[in-house]
Amino acid sequence: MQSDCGHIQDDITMSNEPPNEGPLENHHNVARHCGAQVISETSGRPTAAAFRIGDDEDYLSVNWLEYFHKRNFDIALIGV
Amino acid sequence: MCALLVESDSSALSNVSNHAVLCYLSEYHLSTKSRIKKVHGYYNPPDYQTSFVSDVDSEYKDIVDLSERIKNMYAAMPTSRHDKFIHVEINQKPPAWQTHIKDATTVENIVLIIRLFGQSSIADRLDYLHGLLVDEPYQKPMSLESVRGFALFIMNRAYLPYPDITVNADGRVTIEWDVAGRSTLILEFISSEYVEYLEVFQQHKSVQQRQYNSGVSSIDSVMNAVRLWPYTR
Repeated sequence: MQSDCGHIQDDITMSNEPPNEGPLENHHNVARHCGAQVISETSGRPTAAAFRIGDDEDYLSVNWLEYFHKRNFDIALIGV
Repeated sequence: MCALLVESDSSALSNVSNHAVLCYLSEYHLSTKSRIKKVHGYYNPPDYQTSFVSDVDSEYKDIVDLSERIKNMYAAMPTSRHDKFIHVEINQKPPAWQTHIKDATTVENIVLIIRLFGQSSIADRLDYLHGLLVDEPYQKPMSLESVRGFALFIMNRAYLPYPDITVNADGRVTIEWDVAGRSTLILEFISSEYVEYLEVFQQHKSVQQRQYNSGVSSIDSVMNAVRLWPYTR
Protein backbone atom coordinates (compact mmCIF):
# COMPACT_ATOMS: atom_id res chain seq x y z
CA MET A 1 0.00 0.00 0.00
CA GLN A 2 1.33 3.40 -0.97
CA SER A 3 1.13 6.26 1.51
CA ASP A 4 0.04 9.80 0.56
CA CYS A 5 3.62 10.90 0.22
CA GLY A 6 4.77 7.69 -1.39
CA HIS A 7 5.56 9.41 -4.65
CA ILE A 8 7.88 11.79 -2.80
CA GLN A 9 9.58 8.98 -0.94
CA ASP A 10 10.06 7.16 -4.23
CA ASP A 11 11.81 10.26 -5.53
CA ILE A 12 14.33 10.33 -2.69
CA THR A 13 17.50 9.02 -4.11
CA MET A 14 20.34 7.53 -2.18
CA SER A 15 22.40 6.93 -5.27
CA ASN A 16 25.16 9.35 -4.35
CA GLU A 17 28.07 7.63 -2.77
CA PRO A 18 29.50 9.41 0.28
CA PRO A 19 33.02 10.73 -0.27
CA ASN A 20 35.72 8.42 0.88
CA GLU A 21 37.87 11.19 2.28
CA GLY A 22 37.99 14.98 2.44
CA PRO A 23 35.32 17.66 2.56
CA LEU A 24 32.16 17.93 0.51
CA GLU A 25 32.25 19.97 -2.63
CA ASN A 26 31.84 23.70 -2.02
CA HIS A 27 28.46 23.99 -3.73
CA HIS A 28 26.91 21.15 -1.70
CA ASN A 29 24.77 21.74 1.40
CA VAL A 30 24.24 20.27 4.85
CA ALA A 31 21.28 20.47 7.25
CA ARG A 32 21.02 19.84 10.98
CA HIS A 33 17.81 18.84 12.71
CA CYS A 34 17.13 21.27 15.58
CA GLY A 35 14.79 20.37 18.41
CA ALA A 36 12.44 22.88 20.03
CA GLN A 37 14.94 23.21 22.91
CA VAL A 38 17.22 25.37 20.77
CA ILE A 39 14.69 27.40 18.79
CA SER A 40 14.28 31.09 19.65
CA GLU A 41 10.98 31.85 21.31
CA THR A 42 10.80 35.25 19.64
CA SER A 43 12.21 34.77 16.13
CA GLY A 44 11.45 31.07 15.62
CA ARG A 45 14.98 30.55 14.29
CA PRO A 46 17.75 28.29 15.65
CA THR A 47 19.95 29.94 18.30
CA ALA A 48 23.67 29.44 18.93
CA ALA A 49 22.82 26.55 21.27
CA ALA A 50 21.69 24.54 18.21
CA PHE A 51 25.27 24.39 16.96
CA ARG A 52 27.07 23.76 20.24
CA ILE A 53 29.09 20.54 20.11
CA GLY A 54 28.16 18.39 23.11
CA ASP A 55 30.72 17.25 25.68
CA ASP A 56 30.46 13.66 24.43
CA GLU A 57 30.65 14.58 20.74
CA ASP A 58 33.70 15.00 18.56
CA TYR A 59 31.87 16.76 15.76
CA LEU A 60 28.59 18.45 14.91
CA SER A 61 26.15 15.98 13.39
CA VAL A 62 24.68 17.17 10.07
CA ASN A 63 23.08 15.61 6.99
CA TRP A 64 24.39 15.97 3.47
CA LEU A 65 21.37 17.17 1.50
CA GLU A 66 22.64 16.22 -1.93
CA TYR A 67 22.98 12.65 -0.67
CA PHE A 68 19.17 12.46 -0.42
CA HIS A 69 18.28 14.47 -3.51
CA LYS A 70 20.46 16.39 -5.93
CA ARG A 71 18.06 19.17 -6.88
CA ASN A 72 15.02 19.44 -4.60
CA PHE A 73 15.84 20.28 -0.98
CA ASP A 74 12.21 19.95 0.12
CA ILE A 75 12.44 16.31 -0.81
CA ALA A 76 15.95 15.98 0.59
CA LEU A 77 14.80 17.33 3.98
CA ILE A 78 12.26 14.53 4.25
CA GLY A 79 15.25 12.21 4.18
CA VAL A 80 16.86 14.20 7.02
CA MET B 1 0.82 42.17 62.80
CA CYS B 2 4.17 41.99 61.05
CA ALA B 3 3.04 44.31 58.25
CA LEU B 4 1.93 46.97 60.74
CA LEU B 5 5.22 46.77 62.53
CA VAL B 6 7.16 47.28 59.31
CA GLU B 7 4.95 50.11 58.06
CA SER B 8 5.57 51.91 61.30
CA ASP B 9 9.28 51.30 61.12
CA SER B 10 9.50 52.45 57.48
CA SER B 11 7.82 55.73 58.37
CA ALA B 12 10.37 56.31 61.07
CA LEU B 13 13.20 55.57 58.65
CA SER B 14 11.95 58.01 56.03
CA ASN B 15 12.59 60.85 58.46
CA VAL B 16 16.30 60.13 58.58
CA SER B 17 17.04 59.93 54.86
CA ASN B 18 20.53 61.38 55.28
CA HIS B 19 21.75 58.17 56.95
CA ALA B 20 23.02 55.72 54.32
CA VAL B 21 22.33 52.63 56.38
CA LEU B 22 18.82 53.71 57.28
CA CYS B 23 18.07 54.59 53.65
CA TYR B 24 19.20 51.12 52.63
CA LEU B 25 16.98 49.51 55.22
CA SER B 26 14.05 51.62 54.14
CA GLU B 27 14.54 50.54 50.51
CA TYR B 28 15.02 46.95 51.56
CA HIS B 29 11.72 47.09 53.45
CA LEU B 30 9.96 48.31 50.34
CA SER B 31 11.44 45.59 48.15
CA THR B 32 10.51 42.97 50.71
CA LYS B 33 6.96 44.27 50.86
CA SER B 34 6.75 44.05 47.08
CA ARG B 35 7.90 40.48 47.18
CA ILE B 36 5.29 39.61 49.78
CA LYS B 37 2.57 41.15 47.63
CA LYS B 38 3.74 38.98 44.76
CA VAL B 39 3.77 35.87 46.93
CA HIS B 40 0.22 36.54 48.10
CA GLY B 41 -0.90 37.48 44.59
CA TYR B 42 0.00 34.15 43.01
CA TYR B 43 -1.75 30.86 43.24
CA ASN B 44 0.58 28.65 45.25
CA PRO B 45 0.39 24.90 45.48
CA PRO B 46 -0.46 23.80 49.05
CA ASP B 47 3.03 22.51 49.80
CA TYR B 48 4.66 25.81 49.01
CA GLN B 49 2.14 28.37 50.17
CA THR B 50 2.70 27.76 53.85
CA SER B 51 6.45 27.60 53.78
CA PHE B 52 7.04 30.64 51.57
CA VAL B 53 4.66 33.03 53.32
CA SER B 54 6.01 31.88 56.65
CA ASP B 55 9.61 32.44 55.54
CA VAL B 56 8.91 35.90 54.20
CA ASP B 57 7.05 36.90 57.37
CA SER B 58 10.02 35.68 59.32
CA GLU B 59 12.25 37.77 57.08
CA TYR B 60 10.12 40.82 57.94
CA LYS B 61 10.66 40.26 61.63
CA ASP B 62 14.38 39.78 61.12
CA ILE B 63 14.67 43.05 59.19
CA VAL B 64 12.77 45.01 61.82
CA ASP B 65 14.95 43.52 64.54
CA LEU B 66 18.05 44.21 62.48
CA SER B 67 17.10 47.84 61.86
CA GLU B 68 16.59 48.43 65.59
CA ARG B 69 19.88 46.78 66.38
CA ILE B 70 21.73 48.80 63.74
CA LYS B 71 20.23 52.06 64.89
CA ASN B 72 21.34 51.41 68.47
CA MET B 73 24.85 50.28 67.50
CA TYR B 74 25.21 53.07 64.96
CA ALA B 75 24.41 55.69 67.59
CA ALA B 76 26.88 54.17 70.02
CA MET B 77 29.93 53.90 67.77
CA PRO B 78 32.47 56.59 66.70
CA THR B 79 31.64 58.34 63.40
CA SER B 80 34.88 57.13 61.76
CA ARG B 81 33.66 53.51 61.87
CA HIS B 82 30.21 54.07 60.35
CA ASP B 83 31.04 53.17 56.72
CA LYS B 84 32.75 49.87 57.58
CA PHE B 85 29.91 48.90 59.90
CA ILE B 86 27.29 49.53 57.22
CA HIS B 87 29.08 47.24 54.79
CA VAL B 88 29.34 44.28 57.16
CA GLU B 89 25.79 44.42 58.46
CA ILE B 90 24.07 44.87 55.10
CA ASN B 91 25.89 42.01 53.42
CA GLN B 92 24.67 39.51 55.97
CA LYS B 93 21.14 39.26 54.60
CA PRO B 94 20.68 37.54 51.21
CA PRO B 95 17.32 37.81 49.43
CA ALA B 96 14.80 35.08 50.32
CA TRP B 97 14.68 33.67 46.77
CA GLN B 98 18.43 33.08 46.80
CA THR B 99 18.27 30.66 49.71
CA HIS B 100 15.31 28.81 48.20
CA ILE B 101 17.02 28.44 44.80
CA LYS B 102 20.25 27.18 46.36
CA ASP B 103 18.33 24.60 48.41
CA ALA B 104 16.04 23.41 45.59
CA THR B 105 16.44 19.75 44.65
CA THR B 106 14.54 19.67 41.34
CA VAL B 107 14.12 21.83 38.25
CA GLU B 108 10.39 22.05 39.02
CA ASN B 109 11.14 23.58 42.43
CA ILE B 110 13.41 26.24 40.93
CA VAL B 111 10.77 27.11 38.33
CA LEU B 112 8.20 27.46 41.09
CA ILE B 113 10.46 29.76 43.10
CA ILE B 114 11.07 31.96 40.04
CA ARG B 115 7.33 32.15 39.47
CA LEU B 116 6.53 32.94 43.10
CA PHE B 117 9.00 35.79 43.14
CA GLY B 118 7.49 37.52 40.13
CA GLN B 119 9.35 36.28 37.02
CA SER B 120 6.45 34.35 35.49
CA SER B 121 7.58 34.75 31.85
CA ILE B 122 10.91 33.12 32.61
CA ALA B 123 9.21 30.42 34.68
CA ASP B 124 6.83 29.67 31.79
CA ARG B 125 9.72 29.32 29.35
CA LEU B 126 11.69 27.00 31.67
CA ASP B 127 8.55 24.98 32.29
CA TYR B 128 8.07 24.57 28.54
CA LEU B 129 11.70 23.59 27.92
CA HIS B 130 11.70 21.13 30.80
CA GLY B 131 8.54 19.51 29.51
CA LEU B 132 9.87 18.90 25.99
CA LEU B 133 10.45 15.33 24.94
CA VAL B 134 14.15 14.55 24.60
CA ASP B 135 13.92 12.89 21.19
CA GLU B 136 17.41 13.35 19.81
CA PRO B 137 20.19 10.92 20.74
CA TYR B 138 22.59 13.80 21.41
CA GLN B 139 20.16 15.85 23.54
CA LYS B 140 20.50 15.48 27.32
CA PRO B 141 17.81 16.44 29.87
CA MET B 142 18.00 19.84 31.56
CA SER B 143 20.83 20.08 34.07
CA LEU B 144 19.64 21.01 37.56
CA GLU B 145 22.88 22.85 38.39
CA SER B 146 22.71 24.84 35.16
CA VAL B 147 19.10 25.84 35.85
CA ARG B 148 20.14 26.82 39.37
CA GLY B 149 22.96 29.01 38.03
CA PHE B 150 20.66 30.65 35.50
CA ALA B 151 18.01 31.30 38.16
CA LEU B 152 20.53 32.92 40.51
CA PHE B 153 21.81 35.10 37.65
CA ILE B 154 18.48 36.25 36.25
CA MET B 155 16.71 36.81 39.57
CA ASN B 156 19.49 39.15 40.59
CA ARG B 157 19.19 41.10 37.33
CA ALA B 158 15.51 41.68 36.82
CA TYR B 159 16.32 44.91 34.95
CA LEU B 160 17.74 43.01 31.95
CA PRO B 161 15.53 42.59 28.88
CA TYR B 162 13.97 39.18 28.35
CA PRO B 163 16.55 36.95 26.58
CA ASP B 164 16.13 33.99 24.25
CA ILE B 165 16.26 31.04 26.64
CA THR B 166 17.23 27.64 25.23
CA VAL B 167 18.79 24.35 26.35
CA ASN B 168 21.85 23.06 24.50
CA ALA B 169 22.81 19.45 23.72
CA ASP B 170 24.36 18.98 27.17
CA GLY B 171 21.17 20.12 28.90
CA ARG B 172 22.65 23.45 29.93
CA VAL B 173 20.58 26.61 29.93
CA THR B 174 21.81 29.08 27.33
CA ILE B 175 20.57 32.63 26.96
CA GLU B 176 21.13 34.98 24.06
CA TRP B 177 20.58 38.63 23.29
CA ASP B 178 20.77 40.04 19.78
CA VAL B 179 21.85 43.63 20.10
CA ALA B 180 20.37 45.87 17.43
CA GLY B 181 20.85 43.10 14.88
CA ARG B 182 24.60 43.71 14.82
CA SER B 183 26.06 41.92 17.83
CA THR B 184 25.19 38.94 19.95
CA LEU B 185 25.84 38.01 23.56
CA ILE B 186 25.51 34.35 24.57
CA LEU B 187 25.76 32.99 28.12
CA GLU B 188 25.87 29.27 28.82
CA PHE B 189 25.41 28.28 32.47
CA ILE B 190 27.87 25.43 32.92
CA SER B 191 27.15 24.99 36.64
CA SER B 192 25.48 26.77 39.53
CA GLU B 193 28.60 28.96 39.89
CA TYR B 194 30.16 29.41 36.47
CA VAL B 195 29.06 30.72 33.11
CA GLU B 196 30.72 30.57 29.70
CA TYR B 197 30.25 33.69 27.62
CA LEU B 198 30.65 34.51 23.95
CA GLU B 199 30.26 37.92 22.38
CA VAL B 200 30.14 38.31 18.61
CA PHE B 201 30.68 41.83 17.32
CA GLN B 202 29.93 43.25 13.88
CA GLN B 203 27.70 40.37 12.93
CA HIS B 204 26.68 42.10 9.70
CA LYS B 205 30.22 41.56 8.38
CA SER B 206 31.64 38.35 6.95
CA VAL B 207 32.69 35.64 9.39
CA GLN B 208 36.38 36.45 8.94
CA GLN B 209 35.84 40.13 9.78
CA ARG B 210 33.83 39.64 12.95
CA GLN B 211 35.35 40.10 16.39
CA TYR B 212 34.85 37.67 19.24
CA ASN B 213 35.27 37.77 23.01
CA SER B 214 34.81 34.57 24.98
CA GLY B 215 35.73 32.98 28.30
CA VAL B 216 34.51 31.47 31.54
CA SER B 217 33.58 33.58 34.54
CA SER B 218 31.83 33.24 37.86
CA ILE B 219 28.16 34.10 37.60
CA ASP B 220 28.60 37.04 39.97
CA SER B 221 31.35 38.67 37.92
CA VAL B 222 30.34 37.87 34.34
CA MET B 223 28.99 41.38 33.89
CA ASN B 224 32.51 42.69 34.43
CA ALA B 225 33.99 40.16 32.00
CA VAL B 226 31.87 40.96 28.97
CA ARG B 227 31.96 44.19 27.01
CA LEU B 228 28.57 43.92 25.36
CA TRP B 229 25.98 45.11 27.85
CA PRO B 230 24.19 47.76 25.84
CA TYR B 231 21.12 47.59 28.03
CA THR B 232 22.97 48.28 31.21
CA ARG B 233 25.85 50.57 30.29
